[in-house]
Amino acid sequence: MTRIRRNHRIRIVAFTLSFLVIAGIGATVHGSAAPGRQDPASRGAPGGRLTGRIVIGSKNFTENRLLAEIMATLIEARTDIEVERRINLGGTTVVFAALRAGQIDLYPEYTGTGWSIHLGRTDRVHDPLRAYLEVAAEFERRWDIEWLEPFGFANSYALAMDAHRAEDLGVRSISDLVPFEDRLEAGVSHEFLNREDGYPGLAEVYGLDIDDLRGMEHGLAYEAIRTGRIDVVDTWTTDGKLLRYDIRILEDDSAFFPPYDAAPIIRGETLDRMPGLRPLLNRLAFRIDDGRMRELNYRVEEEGGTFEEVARSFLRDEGLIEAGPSRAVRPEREDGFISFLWTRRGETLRLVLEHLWLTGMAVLLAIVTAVPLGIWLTRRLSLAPAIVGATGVIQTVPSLALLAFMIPVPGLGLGARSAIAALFLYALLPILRNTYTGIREVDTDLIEAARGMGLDGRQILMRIELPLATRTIMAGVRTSTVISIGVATLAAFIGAGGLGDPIVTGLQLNDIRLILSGAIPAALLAILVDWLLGRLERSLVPKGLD
Amino acid sequence: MIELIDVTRRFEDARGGEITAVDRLSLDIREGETMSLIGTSGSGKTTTMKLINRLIEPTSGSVRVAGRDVRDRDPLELRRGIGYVIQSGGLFPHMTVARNVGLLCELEGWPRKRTRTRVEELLELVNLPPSEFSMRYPRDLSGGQRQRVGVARALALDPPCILMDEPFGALDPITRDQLHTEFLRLESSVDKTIVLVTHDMAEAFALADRTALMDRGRLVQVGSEDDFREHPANAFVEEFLRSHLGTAVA
Repeated sequence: MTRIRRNHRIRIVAFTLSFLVIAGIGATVHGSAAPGRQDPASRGAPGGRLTGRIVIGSKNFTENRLLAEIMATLIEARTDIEVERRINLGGTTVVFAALRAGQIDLYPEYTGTGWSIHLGRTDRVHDPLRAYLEVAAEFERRWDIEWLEPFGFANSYALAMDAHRAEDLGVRSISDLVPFEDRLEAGVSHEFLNREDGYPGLAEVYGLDIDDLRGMEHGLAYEAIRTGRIDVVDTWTTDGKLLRYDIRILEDDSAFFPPYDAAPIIRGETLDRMPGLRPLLNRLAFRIDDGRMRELNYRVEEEGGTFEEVARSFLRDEGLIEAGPSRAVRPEREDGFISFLWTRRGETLRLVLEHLWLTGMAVLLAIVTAVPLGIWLTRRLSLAPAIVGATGVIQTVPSLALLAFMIPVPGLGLGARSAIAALFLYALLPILRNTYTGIREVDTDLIEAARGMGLDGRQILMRIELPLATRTIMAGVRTSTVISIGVATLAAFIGAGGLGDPIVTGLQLNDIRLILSGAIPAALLAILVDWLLGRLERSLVPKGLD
Repeated sequence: MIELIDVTRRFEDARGGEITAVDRLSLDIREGETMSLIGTSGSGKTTTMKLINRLIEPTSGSVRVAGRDVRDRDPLELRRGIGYVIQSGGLFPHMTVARNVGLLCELEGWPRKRTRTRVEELLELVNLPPSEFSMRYPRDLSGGQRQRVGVARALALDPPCILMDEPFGALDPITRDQLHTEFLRLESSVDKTIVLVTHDMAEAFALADRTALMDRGRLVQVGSEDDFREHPANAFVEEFLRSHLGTAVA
């Protein structure tokens, strides 16, 4: 009998050790979770180069990312400041919240967005200069955020149609759409669909009510227009894809859309620490007009240039940095899927480890919390429905929303910690509920026999209840883990990395290979981990139970 | 050895009313004797037995084991000194036979060798050759075998008293007969005070020195088989005998 127990123990130790080793690898690969930003020695000596550390954020579309990369590269090339990039953040509200919370220092924003979304102004504005000045003044006053000088282009929202269809219907402007509103199908980006300065406001001003209106990922919408599946799409005047598809931009004849001049916005506190950033970034002022921006976007989206490459060559062309070899690796757009995966194998492995780290930490924390809590609840039956119910409610919160909720929590912020916190909350319910029911289901006769024999509460728990409940508890752990692996793909939206990164970028760039290079490993990971946990379960569940 | 002195136990039932499971019961169980508690269901026999090892506490009255009030003793220590066998054995399915039997020895901190020797001894005692049965799991055993293991387990620390709650209830008549024979053999070879709850009058008379008949929480009569047959205390007793044994009463 003791030999069998020793084998159990050896197996448990082996599994735990190998898990810890993998988690440790993941941790070192992953690096620090949160940007460490308390850096007092940030001003360069007079005449010397600037030092310090900043975090540059970006929204999750190409142009914004590109502008962020341009700023980052410029800063890196001309100062000793350490730049951390937090790109692909999910949407305007997330990025701005991150800026206000100090999780990022700087990101590229648009005056129109500042006007309608952040300041919430419902009065309309048409003069770009007035928009810029008022927004800048107000941001400074309210949040100590400074608008640096504009890049020189305006990226306005616009509605667009396939050029031929527009010609057929004689549609030139947005008001021309109104007579056709019940015959048209529109696919607009989710942000546009919900923003006050997007479709809702537009519909009101133009008296437009398109019946068949749905939210679509922008990258997919163009394909849909080209194949005739939808008629109308929202777009931006600097969208690179405009150079590729035959699309007509509809005139905003009622002047609904405000100006959207792009400029960097930066925390006042950051400028106080590193005042040299202001003149440096202002060197980008008015260097990019509409056409130039469109072209730059095109080079990334349609020609397959990397953000790093395109940013660097722009800066070189402008004489802002020295010519030098580009360090970027260029994924060939023409590559087939297999060779694409092969090229990315190192990166994919890193992402897998990062993903495992996020999931593993969350599930471990959940086990350590939920199992004792579940045991405790079996001794306080009246509390069980309330507490199990509460964890159930957490499950109903949409994953992305839960991730976003974590950001403002002190100590969490953008990145791995928030992701782990959200994943932890999701992992609680299956483990808690299974621990509770697993123990409750132990035959009461056995408990009575144990009590009658003179076993105390702790002995009954450790020797009778837990061993008999192991299978059920492990089933809960397996469920939680597989769920976590899936939800962890969303962690990319808050900058936590993992296999969601290529998925999100792939959606942006409309590159199916990238998407799959994240999605397939994630699915395989879930299957593999579940299988491993099944083996673990088999060795932990006491023999003799079937 | 075991004294129940004017013991009463009341419960609250599901509707908030009160049930008196044991009603002012006084019973003396002598050292070394085997006493069976018998009655219809609801008569309070199992409750009475559980009052002895403090699985249930009396509402009033007192219970004494070996001269000491059970409330003065640590319940765990008390129970380690009283063997407990329930119907269908109550064997822990995730432990081998050997581990089940030796569990209390292990918990008492006995060295492994000593435990192992004791386990083998006990399995021999109940006619389950250790070489064959030690490593088996309860699910691989027949009902009768499980029962025997349960008895062996109860004897592990050599307690002076043993409580058995319908120990042979779940068995078929043939096995039950076999076990009766073994029980009697065992009983004569060990010197223990045994309390046995059963609903089977024939079994009660066969196995016990004295029998206590209960009805609705009250003790109706206690005595040997002859006492019951020749001097039934009242009509209830007569009726009970007649319906359970189908024999005429003197």
